[in-house]
Amino acid sequence: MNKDSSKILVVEDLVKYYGAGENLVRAVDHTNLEIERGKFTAVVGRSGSGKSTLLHLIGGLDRPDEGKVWIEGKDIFALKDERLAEFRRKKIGFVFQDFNLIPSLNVWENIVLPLGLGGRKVKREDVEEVLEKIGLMDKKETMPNALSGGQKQRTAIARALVTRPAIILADEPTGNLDSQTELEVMSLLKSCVADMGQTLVMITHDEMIAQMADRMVEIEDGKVVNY
Amino acid sequence: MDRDRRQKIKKYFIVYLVFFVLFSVFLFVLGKYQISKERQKMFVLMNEHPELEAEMIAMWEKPDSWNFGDIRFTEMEKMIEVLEDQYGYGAKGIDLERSWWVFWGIGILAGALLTAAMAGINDKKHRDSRENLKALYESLEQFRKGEFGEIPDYETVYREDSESWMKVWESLRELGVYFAERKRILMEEENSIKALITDISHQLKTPLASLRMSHEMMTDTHFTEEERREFQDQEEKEIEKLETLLKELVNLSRMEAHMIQIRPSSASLKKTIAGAVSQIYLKARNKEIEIQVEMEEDLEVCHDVKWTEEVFVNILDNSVKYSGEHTTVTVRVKRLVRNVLIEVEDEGIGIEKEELSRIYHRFYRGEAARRMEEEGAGVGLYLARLILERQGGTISAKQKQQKGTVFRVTLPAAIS
Repeated sequence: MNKDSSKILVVEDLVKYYGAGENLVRAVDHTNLEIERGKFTAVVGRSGSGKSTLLHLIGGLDRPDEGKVWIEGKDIFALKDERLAEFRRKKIGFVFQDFNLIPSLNVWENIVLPLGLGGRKVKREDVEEVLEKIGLMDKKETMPNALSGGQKQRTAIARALVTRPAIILADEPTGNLDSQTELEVMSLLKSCVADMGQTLVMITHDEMIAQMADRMVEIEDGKVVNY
Repeated sequence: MDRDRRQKIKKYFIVYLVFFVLFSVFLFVLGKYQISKERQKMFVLMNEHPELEAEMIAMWEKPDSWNFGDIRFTEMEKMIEVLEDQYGYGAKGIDLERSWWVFWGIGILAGALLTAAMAGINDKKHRDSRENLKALYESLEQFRKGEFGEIPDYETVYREDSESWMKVWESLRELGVYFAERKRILMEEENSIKALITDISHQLKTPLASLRMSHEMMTDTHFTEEERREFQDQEEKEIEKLETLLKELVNLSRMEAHMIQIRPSSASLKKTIAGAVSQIYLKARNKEIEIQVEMEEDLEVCHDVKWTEEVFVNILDNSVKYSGEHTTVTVRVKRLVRNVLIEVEDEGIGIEKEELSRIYHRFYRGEAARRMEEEGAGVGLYLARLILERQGGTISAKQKQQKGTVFRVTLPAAIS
């Protein structure tokens, strides 16, 4: 079941609980979901609804209590930790709210970091293409602390794009940005993803961003309530 | 036995032959070494005991006819053993003549075994490759049947953990994904065209029905001349509406069927916005709505002039349609880093939060909009989004704190 490798991402009866007894939190509670390839899906819901936990599970950053996540027909939790990390590096790009840039590395170095981790050769033209697209060509030598919030997030996006992953998972990527920078970052992310035919799954509570998505998934108390 | 296999056997035979020759050379050298040692011993002994010269020469020349007097061979062996015990004369007195043959035998056997083992390993490789080819063939067979998603995991089907096989498998898998994607897109397009046809005929039914009604009443002789003229006016309005709708539907279907190409090129954004405003100006003036454009400097922006103008016409048309009299519609242009932001802000009825993500759906009309009974097919924003996305732009709307709506459009500033 769901071994279909043409389906980019299938979530099957996923469960993740935290705590116990009275403090039991049903962060992800028997969630089923199918993400369409090449589409932009927005995952919306109040804070504490379990969106982030769901995204972490989808990205294989955490293991569920029950259930499965299939990426291109591969049951990712059947993989051992090492293989999972390898698979993740190859297939998934992450963009987080707080950018997660390495402060001691400049923009270029931060961007090529995942290539180095994957043991892949850094192709100068590929990196430059992404930098050009995202408008950071003149900032490639700059250290993160000298960047504005928007520039930091654009660096993080470039880092996620440079390995050309099939899926980009973004967790409130514009949460720390003002509304104009947010629009800028969103349109860049959206057009880059569209250019490369990548699948974008983004957590947001921002309605303007949710509107830009091809599809909206609403999460409430760990469950999908609205497709 | 196939040619391939015969050739392989030939190869192993050659390997074996080379081994054999090398081993023989090794033994030959070893023999030479032993003989020279023997000679040295002989020389030392002859020097010490010149009286035994004749016997020694005989021993050297005819080792088989050694004259040990009455000592029998077995007794001699025993004596040698004693010699060994006394002087530690190692390795049971290497009898070179015999060990030579033993060595030779072992060597040949070892060589044969080694070659056989190599052949065995290679045969396993050969079998593995055949299994892999079989798996490959099965996958291709599935492709031919139109099933693209069932490429089995590498570990479950393929033998031998080699990188080249892994690469073949990965390409096959990617090919499967690509085929499946093409198939899905084709089906999606087919479905969307079917849906479009249904939607369009549905959209045309209502105005056509009211047109028919007006027309029937106009021709009905029961009504007075004045009443019939009223129906005639009504009919004209219906025809106008139908014309507008038809224009929209044509644009829509042509856009969806990719019959309209969006060709972005660097052009003045000011001109495009001015063009859109002038199309809406009359409508705005009728409701005494002021259209303000705030743009500090003209910007060269990468966009398709004709269709981007259409986008702004649609947005402005909505703003004017759903705003009250004596209000203001403001167009604001701001340069971002890689994009240009165009805001269209009105003081109209606004859009409910819950409806915000649905307003771009084809033929969707908001509750409030329908209540106002303004004409509109729910095509404008859908088309606007389609046009913008095809040139790397975005559109989003927001309910204002006070009355009204803000639409935000972004366009990439330069060709990417």
